[in-house]
Amino acid sequence: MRSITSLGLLCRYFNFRVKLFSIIDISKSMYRYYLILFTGLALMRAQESSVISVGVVDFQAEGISDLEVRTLTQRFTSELNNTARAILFDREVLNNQITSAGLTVAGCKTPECILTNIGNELGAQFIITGSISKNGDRYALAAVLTDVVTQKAERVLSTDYRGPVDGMITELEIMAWEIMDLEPPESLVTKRKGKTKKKIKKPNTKSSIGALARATALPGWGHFYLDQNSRGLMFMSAEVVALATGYFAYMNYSRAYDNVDRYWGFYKESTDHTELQNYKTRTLEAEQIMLDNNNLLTVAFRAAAAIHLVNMLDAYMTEIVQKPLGSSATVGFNLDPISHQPQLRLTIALD
Amino acid sequence: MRWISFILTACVSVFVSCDLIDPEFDNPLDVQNNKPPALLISPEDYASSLGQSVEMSLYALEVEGVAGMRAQVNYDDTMVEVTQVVPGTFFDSNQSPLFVYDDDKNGKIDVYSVFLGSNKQVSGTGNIAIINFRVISNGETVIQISNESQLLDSNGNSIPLQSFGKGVIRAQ
Repeated sequence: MRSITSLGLLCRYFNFRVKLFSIIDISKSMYRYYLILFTGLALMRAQESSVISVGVVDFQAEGISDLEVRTLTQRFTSELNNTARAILFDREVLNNQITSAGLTVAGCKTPECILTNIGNELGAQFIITGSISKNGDRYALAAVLTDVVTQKAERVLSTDYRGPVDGMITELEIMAWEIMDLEPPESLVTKRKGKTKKKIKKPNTKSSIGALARATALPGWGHFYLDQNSRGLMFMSAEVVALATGYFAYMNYSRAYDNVDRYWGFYKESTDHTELQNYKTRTLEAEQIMLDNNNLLTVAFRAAAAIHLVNMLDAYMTEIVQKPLGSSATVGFNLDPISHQPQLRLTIALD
Repeated sequence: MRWISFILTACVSVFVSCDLIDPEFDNPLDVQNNKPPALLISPEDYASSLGQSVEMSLYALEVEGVAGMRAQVNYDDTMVEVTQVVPGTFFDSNQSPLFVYDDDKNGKIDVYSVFLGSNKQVSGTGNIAIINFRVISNGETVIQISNESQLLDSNGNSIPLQSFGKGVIRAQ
């Protein structure tokens, strides 16, 4: 198992370069060139990768001993490593961080506890917490993958298993694949025993219904939700323009309506021939303005309704591109748990 | 159900339209409604109630060189009664016109307004008399200017009238 993160390696590599270049006294411009080139290559490599750094916390236990649960967590971790999608954060380092924060490893196994106390110092992007409980030949397994930065659960897996204990270990290993959003290998699936009931939740997964609900509430919101910002902005702007046009047309219509009502009243009451003709002319002019603006507001509101419907339909039908785990890039300082030195942490898209 | 209401709201907004006024230019003094020269009642509709008075104005429309006139007004004496008749502004009081009226109490009233002298006359549109009616019975009654009405020029010649107006009193 790899004991340090690739980011830790990156930082150490930079330190090494600094020393090396200072010894051979290479020119400053060359150093910058190499630094930029290396950083670019590292970013490109990272962008192509789909690997995330994960710290696995010892699972909580119920009905089994601490030693057993530690062994089972180790099996889970080993299988996680087999997925080749996770760079595993050293569990000893993680446990040391927990104890350094004045807590006990046994007493801090929930994501809330870990992230509240050592969240800023963790060198991993994600943590996996879980629980194993046993009642006769029934086992309840659970695992949660939590984003360290957002502190939100990305995957929640729960498996109810009934059968022999080796079948439970197989289920645990399958969970290691499923929590990484991968199909378990055939060799594992064929090893399955007993009866299994499984639930997989992806709380932050975007859905078409979610997009439709947002698009219905506010044009463009559904697209923003799906990261289709330009389309979202387009729908929102179009709706605003249509509604604003409708509103101003309504204001003009309303004014003209009042004028028609007023001048027509004057006309009906008028007994002076010149005045009567004047009010008649004004009534007709106001009536024309009223009709024009009524037509305009009708068209504008119909357009707004059409835009709203198209926006809803488009949001619903837009293909959802799920962001891979750890795809959001962040940069920040934190303490390297191994060297106990400040570390520049760069988190970038890994797919 | 939530979705249905959203869709219905959206559909309703597609068919949105505002209330419109369709003005009817029915002022009796508008030459488009009555061919001049004419004797008319304006306005034409009056709403009242039992025991209340209604002030009805008689107008001459687009007349030329009028020195005297006789307006005969027919009314239903079971519905209304005449309480007062006063001269209008058309026959200018500075020119001292003779203004008299004769109510036969059987649904017919004759109103006369005449300039004494051959050089006095008026033209145009104006109020010739105001007749006050009292409503004595509920219902709808028509006050009609009869075609017995006459306009005379300063030489005593009759000016042919093209239109004769009417008014309606609705008493509730």
